[in-house]
Order: sequence, then structure tokens, then C-alpha cells
Amino acid sequence: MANIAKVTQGALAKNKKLNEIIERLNPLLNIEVNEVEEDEPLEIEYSDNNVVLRVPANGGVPEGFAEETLDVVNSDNTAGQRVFLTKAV
Amino acid sequence: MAILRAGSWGNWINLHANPVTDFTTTPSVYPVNCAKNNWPNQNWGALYIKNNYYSEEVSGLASLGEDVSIESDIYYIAFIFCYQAAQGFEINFNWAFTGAGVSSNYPSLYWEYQTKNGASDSYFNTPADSGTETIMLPASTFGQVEMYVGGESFGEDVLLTASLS
Repeated sequence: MANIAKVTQGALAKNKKLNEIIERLNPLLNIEVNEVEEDEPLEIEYSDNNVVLRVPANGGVPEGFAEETLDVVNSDNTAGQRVFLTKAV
Repeated sequence: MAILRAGSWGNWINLHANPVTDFTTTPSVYPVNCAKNNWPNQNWGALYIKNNYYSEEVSGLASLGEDVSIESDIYYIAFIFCYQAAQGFEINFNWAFTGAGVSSNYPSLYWEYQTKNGASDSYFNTPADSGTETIMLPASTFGQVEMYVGGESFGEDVLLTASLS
């Protein structure tokens, strides 16, 4: 999304608070989300140009569960496979 | 919605049996097919059983389009398989009687299916010397299908050839 241009002409330009808000708002229009290693912390980096969210990768298989690939009949009658999270009971 | 695989072999009572590879005795479980398609590790198949009255019945595995034949004056060929299907599909039961005994032949043809979803149907006929019976099998989490064609010619032999397609 394009940045909001500062007001430089007219009566509104005399309101410095307006341009201050525009300066703060523009980085939020350029949010970047990066996936980082599972053991790295969640980080938010705020700069004049953009905001970068560093999100740890999905935590994998929940404790006690295992991934199993099982065969299924797809809705068009072809054979397919699905990955299930399974746990013995 | 996808249907979780049963089998890989099974029958109406036991939906999860191991595949059969030894056909010295006729199995009581059958391939569980994915409609008319192959599974990643198992090709489409039906158990065939054939008998000529004078010796032990013979069984084996038949694929789609594969001919099974027997020659005698008292004889039959049967196919049995299970299936899972998210939508209904058609299967063809093909047969042909040839040979000297055809003129005095008394043929019969039969098929039936039942599904765990409550559908069932059956059919009996005195068939022509050759033909195809198209059977519409309904969508089901598990169904079992049996087909039979045979005859008696009382003397001269008949060669019966049958297949599924």
C-alpha cells in the first residue's frame, strides 16, 4: 500500500500534528512478516520506513502426537493421502 | 469429503484385513478398491473364483480388463471385490460363451452388492452368448460386490471368458 504523503500546502499544512501522525502511520502501511527459526523469539522492529514482525516457525507436532500419512478416497474417487496427527489412547 | 481408506483387503464383517498372496485355498477376504482407481501401493483388483465341477475351484486376482476363462460342460466364474467411493461409478461385467457346447448351454448370470451406507441391489438373468452388464455402484464408505456367470452344457464343452472393466 502506498505511503500517505505529508501535507505541505494549504491551511492543513499549518497543523504540524497532522504530519506527525502521517509519519507514524506510514510504517504501519508497510508491515513485513518474516518466519524465523522455531527457537528464536518473536520480535517486532519498528522503523521510520516499515514494521517487521519476526514470527517463530510453527512449533511442529504437539507433544504426544505423531504425524501419520494415511490413504483416502478423494471426492473425485481418485486415491489421495492426508497427514493426520495421531495419538494412542 | 474424503473417505479414510479401509482394507487393504477385507470383507463385509472385517474391513481391515491383510492382503492375500497365497491362493492355494480360496480366500475369504477381498481387495478393497478405491472406486475404479489404483491405490498408491495397490493396483485395482478383484478376487476371481472359477470351477469346472470336476476339480477343485481355482482363485486368483484379476485386474480391470483382464480376462478369466474356464472350459468345461459344468462351469462358472465369480468375481468378488470391495470398494470405497465418494461418488457413484459404473463397472462393466463382460462375458462370452464360445465352443461346441454353446448350442446346448444353460447359462446363468448373477450379481449383487451391498454397502455399509445401506444400499443394496441384485440381479439374475439367463444371459445371451456374450454381453456386458453395467452395474452402477453407489458412493459408500465400504461396499462389497459379487458377480457370477456360469452354465451347464451336458456334454460338449463351453469356453467361458469373463472380465470386469
